[in-house]
Amino acid sequence: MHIAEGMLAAKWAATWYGAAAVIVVKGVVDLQRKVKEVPFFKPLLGLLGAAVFIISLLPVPLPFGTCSHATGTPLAAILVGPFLASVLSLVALFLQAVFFAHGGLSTLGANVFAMGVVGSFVGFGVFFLCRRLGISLLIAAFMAGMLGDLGVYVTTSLQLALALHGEAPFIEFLVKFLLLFVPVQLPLAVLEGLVTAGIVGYIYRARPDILLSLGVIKEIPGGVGNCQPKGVS
Amino acid sequence: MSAQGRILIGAVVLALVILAVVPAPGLAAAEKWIGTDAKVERLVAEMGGPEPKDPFLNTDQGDLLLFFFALGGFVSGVLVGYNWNRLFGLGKGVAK
Repeated sequence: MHIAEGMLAAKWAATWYGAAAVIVVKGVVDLQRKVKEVPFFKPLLGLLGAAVFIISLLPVPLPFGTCSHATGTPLAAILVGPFLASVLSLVALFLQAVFFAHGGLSTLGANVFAMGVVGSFVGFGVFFLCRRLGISLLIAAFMAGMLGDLGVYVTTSLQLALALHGEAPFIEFLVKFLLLFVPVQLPLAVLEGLVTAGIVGYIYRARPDILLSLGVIKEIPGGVGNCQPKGVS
Repeated sequence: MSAQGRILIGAVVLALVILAVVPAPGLAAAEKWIGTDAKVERLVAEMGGPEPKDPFLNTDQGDLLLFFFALGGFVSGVLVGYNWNRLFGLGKGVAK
């Protein structure tokens, strides 16, 4: 969901800018450090940045004749952490606001907070909680993708209800937005969970050393020799 | 992943695709495939909230938005493919 230009009053737009900025600044600091520390970090960031951009722009046809888009931030958060995933979402949402009439510059902070910050932190938190509980990598990634996606839309509902309820009961507005989002977003959240699990599973099979270096897994099955891409001698 | 797992995932994806292409009963042609962003804007208008303003650059004119979507898809595809190849590809440039 992209909150369109001009839909939030200045005080709310500024509030969400401030909230998102705290996380994004920390992400930029982490980015500079990690690019120096981890050799394959640049191509990974390029891959994830483009993926978050296109996943969050692509309108997916959904049951009952509507369209919505996934977020991509839970996947990015699993791999590079929630702070860096928030930076990637800022870049993606800025380009979408400027060139694609999706969202707006005044609402960029709110959109980054929902998709970047909440999507990343929920996805990251769910993934590592699931792993702590001994749940398999694929199911943990699926849960992270699904719940991260839903977290974004619950946050957008909260943002809109907070900004628009006026004298009316806040909860009434919140329920209206949730009722609009949830039936549409549930199948898409399942799809986002499947895509997230699919990509994490692929990396685990093709380059488990990437997941090991990023701290996503603790050990490589079969040892470190089992981490060369197929066909590379 | 087990064969059962793959079949289950395939079935879920297939079910989602079938549900997505089934015509929605009772919807006028103009209402079909409307995005959630537009639905939210409509709901906000019904609630007496603010109308959305024109974006910073209004590319939603004629085929201009289609051009930007095609260009954005192409550039993203190139970036994903190039970096995917660097990370997982068969060439010599695989990032260690």
